[in-house]
Amino acid sequence: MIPLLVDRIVALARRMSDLGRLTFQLMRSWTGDDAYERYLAQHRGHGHQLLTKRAFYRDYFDRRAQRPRCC
Amino acid sequence: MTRVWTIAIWSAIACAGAGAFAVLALSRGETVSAAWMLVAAVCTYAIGYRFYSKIISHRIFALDDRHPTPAVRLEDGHDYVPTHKWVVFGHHFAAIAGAGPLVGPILAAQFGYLPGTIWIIVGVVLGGAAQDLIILCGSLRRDGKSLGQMAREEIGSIGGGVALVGVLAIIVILIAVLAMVVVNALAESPWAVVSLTLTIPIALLMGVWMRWIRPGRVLEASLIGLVLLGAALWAGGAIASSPYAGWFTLGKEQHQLFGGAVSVSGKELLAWGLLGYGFIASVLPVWLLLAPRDYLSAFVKVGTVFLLAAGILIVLPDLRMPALVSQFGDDGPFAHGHGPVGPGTLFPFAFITIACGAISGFHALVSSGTTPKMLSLESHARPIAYGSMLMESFVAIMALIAACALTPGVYFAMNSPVAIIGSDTVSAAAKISSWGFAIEPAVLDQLAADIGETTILSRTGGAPCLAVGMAQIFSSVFNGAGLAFWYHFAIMFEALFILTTIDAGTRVGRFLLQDVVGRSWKRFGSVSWQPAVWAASLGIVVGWGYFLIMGIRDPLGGIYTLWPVFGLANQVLAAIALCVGTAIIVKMGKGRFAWITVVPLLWLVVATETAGWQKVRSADPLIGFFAKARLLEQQVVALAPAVTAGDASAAVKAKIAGRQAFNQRLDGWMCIVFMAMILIVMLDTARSCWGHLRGGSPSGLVSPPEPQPSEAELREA
Repeated sequence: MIPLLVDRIVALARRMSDLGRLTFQLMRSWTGDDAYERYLAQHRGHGHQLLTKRAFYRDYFDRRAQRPRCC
Repeated sequence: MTRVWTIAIWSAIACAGAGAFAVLALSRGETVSAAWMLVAAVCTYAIGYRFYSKIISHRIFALDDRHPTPAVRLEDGHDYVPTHKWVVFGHHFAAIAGAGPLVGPILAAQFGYLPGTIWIIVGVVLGGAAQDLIILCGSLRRDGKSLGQMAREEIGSIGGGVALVGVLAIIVILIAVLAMVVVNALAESPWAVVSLTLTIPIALLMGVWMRWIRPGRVLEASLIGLVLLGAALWAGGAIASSPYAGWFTLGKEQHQLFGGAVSVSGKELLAWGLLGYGFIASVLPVWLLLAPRDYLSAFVKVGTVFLLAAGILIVLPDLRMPALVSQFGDDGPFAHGHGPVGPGTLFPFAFITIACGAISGFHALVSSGTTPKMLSLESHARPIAYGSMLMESFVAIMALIAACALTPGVYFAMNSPVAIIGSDTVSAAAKISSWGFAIEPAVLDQLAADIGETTILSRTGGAPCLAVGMAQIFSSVFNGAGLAFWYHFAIMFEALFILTTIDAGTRVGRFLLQDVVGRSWKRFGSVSWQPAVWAASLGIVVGWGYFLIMGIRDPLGGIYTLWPVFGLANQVLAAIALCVGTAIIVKMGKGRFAWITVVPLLWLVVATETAGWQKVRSADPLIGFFAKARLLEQQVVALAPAVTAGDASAAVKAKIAGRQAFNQRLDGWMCIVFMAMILIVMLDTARSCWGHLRGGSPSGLVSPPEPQPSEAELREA
C-alpha cells in the first residue's frame, strides 16, 4: 500500500516537474529568451558569419517592434 | 455509444447557453448574477469553436498538416520561424488584445448590459473570430502576405490602395483615442502620474540590461522590471499622500508657460507630455525603450486578465445596470440617443462602440503577415486565430461585467462629461438621479476617498471606470481591503499597455507612412535615412496629436466625440478584411461558403453606413457633426458685435467656437471618407469576384504544396 502511494507521489512530482519545465521553455520561447540559441542551432555549420549575441538581439528587437499591434 | 454521448454533451452545452441568454434577456427588475453572462459566453464560444470554425478550417481551406507551412518551407531564422503552437498563441493574443476590448464594452454599458453581451458573444463567433481565421488561412496559403498585399491581389489596386490609406487613418485615430484614455486616467491623480512616469526609467533599465549588461536575458530583465513596477506603485501611493502630491496633480487647473505667454490646462500638459513621449519612443533604438516596455506590458496584461477572470469567478458579482437603458422614442432620460457617455441610439451605435471584442479590422493586420510566418502546422491556425479572438471576446465580457456590477449612478458619474453633469458632486448626483439612477453626493465623495482620489466625476474614457469595477471585484476577494491599491494597480495596468500601443503604433504608422510616400519618392522609404525617419515620425505624431489636443480643449470632445469616429474606422477596416476574405473564398472556387464572410460584412456595412449617415446628416447637434458645426458658427456670428466692440472674453469665446466648428467639420468629413471607402472596396470586390466567376480575374493564391507523407506513412512504405 505505502510503496504504491510513494510511487504515485513520485510519478505526480515527475509530471509536475515536466509541466513546469515545459511552461518555462514556452515562456523562454514566447519572450525570445532562447532566440539566440535557436539561431545558432539553425545557422551553425552553414559556413557563413554568425551574428554576436548583442547584434542578434538588436536585430531581433527591431523585427519584433515592426509587428502590428491592435488596440 | 460515444456518438450518443457526444450529441448529449453538445446538446447540454447548447441548452445551458440558451438558458443563460434567456435569463439575461428576460430579467426585468430582479437581480441577475454575472454568472449567467459567463455561462452564455462560454457555451456559445464552445459551440462556435467546435462547429463554426470547423467549416472554415476543414470545408473551405481544408487545412492539412501534411502541407508544409510557409514557416517550414521558407525558414530563415528571422521572419519565417516554425514555432510552438502555444507560443504563437501567446504572440497572437498579445498582439490583438489591447485596451479596445476593455474600453468599448465600458462605454456601451450605457445601453444596458444586454446589447453589449449579445453583440460581443454573437459578433465574435460569426464575425470577428471567423474574419481572423479566414485572413490567417488566406495569408498562410500566400506565403504570409499582408492584408494590403492580399487586397491588391484579390480585389485590385483600388481596393489595395484604399486598404492602405484606411490602415494609416485608423492608426492615427486609434492612437489619439487611446492617448485620450490615458490622459483621462492620469488627470487629477498624482498616484497614477508618478507610477506611470516611473515605468519609463524602469523600461530604460531593462533595455540596457538586455542589450549591454546581460544580452538577451529577457526573462531575467522582465522579472526585475516587474519587481520595480511594484515599487513604482508603492512610490506613487507614497507621493500621493505626501505634501508633494500637488506637483503631480494635473487636471483642470491652468498653467502659465513661457512667462505667461501661453496658458494650458493640466490635462493639456499631460497630452503634450504623451506627444513628446510618442515621438521620442518612435525614433529611439527599439532595444532601449520599446522592446522592454513591450515585455513589461505583455506580462502585466496577461497576468491581470487572469487575475480579473479569477476575481469574477470567485465573487460572481450581481449586475446592477438594467438589461436595457432605452435610447429610443421621446421619453426617458436618454431619448433620441442623448446618452451621456456617447451620443446615438442603440442601433447602430452599440455596434460601433464595441469593435474589439466582437469584430476588429485591426486583427486582420496581425492575422496576415506576422502570425502565418510562425505556424509550424496548418491545423494550428484554428486555435490560434479563432481561439485567440474568443479569448479577447471573453476579456470584453469581463470588462462589461466590471462596468455593469457598479452602481449605475457611479457608472454615469464617472463616464459623463462635465458639460452634462457639472463639476461638483451635488449637481452631478442631482442630474444623474433625475435620469432615474438615484445616487447621493456623499456616495460619490466617499468612493473617491476610498480609491485615494480627489474626485471620480467625469473620469471619462472607460479606463478609470474599469479600474473602479476591477478594484471592487479584487477587494471583495480580500473582504473589501485595499480598494485604493487595486484601483491604482488597475490604472497602471491599463495605462501601461495603452502606452505600449501608443509608442508601437506610432512606430508602425511611421513605417506605413514611409512605405506610402516611398512609392513616389524612393529615398523617403528607406528606414535607415534619418531625415525620413524623423519626418515620418513627426507626421504621425502631429496627426494623432491634433485629434488629442482638439479632444481635450473641447468640453464635449474627447471620448464623447472621438470614440464613434474610431469605432467607425475600425469597422471600416473589418469590412475591408471581410471583402478580402470573400474574394479569397470565391477565388478558391468555394463560393457556396461566401455567406460566412458576406453575412457579417452586410451587417457591418448596414451598421457603419447608418452610423456614418447619422453623424453626417443628423440635424441634432449632439449627434450630427455638421449640425454641431453650424450651431457653433451661429455662436461666432452672434458674438461678432461684441468682438468688434473690443470685448476680450467674447473674442476668446468666438475663437474657441470657430475652432470647434472646424474640428466638427473635420470629423464629419472623415466619416464621409470612411463611408465612401467601404462602398468603394465592396464594389471593387464584387467586380473582382464577378470577373473571376467569368474566368478572367487571377488570384494571388500560392497553391498548397503537395502533401508530404507523414512519418507513419513513410514507415509503412
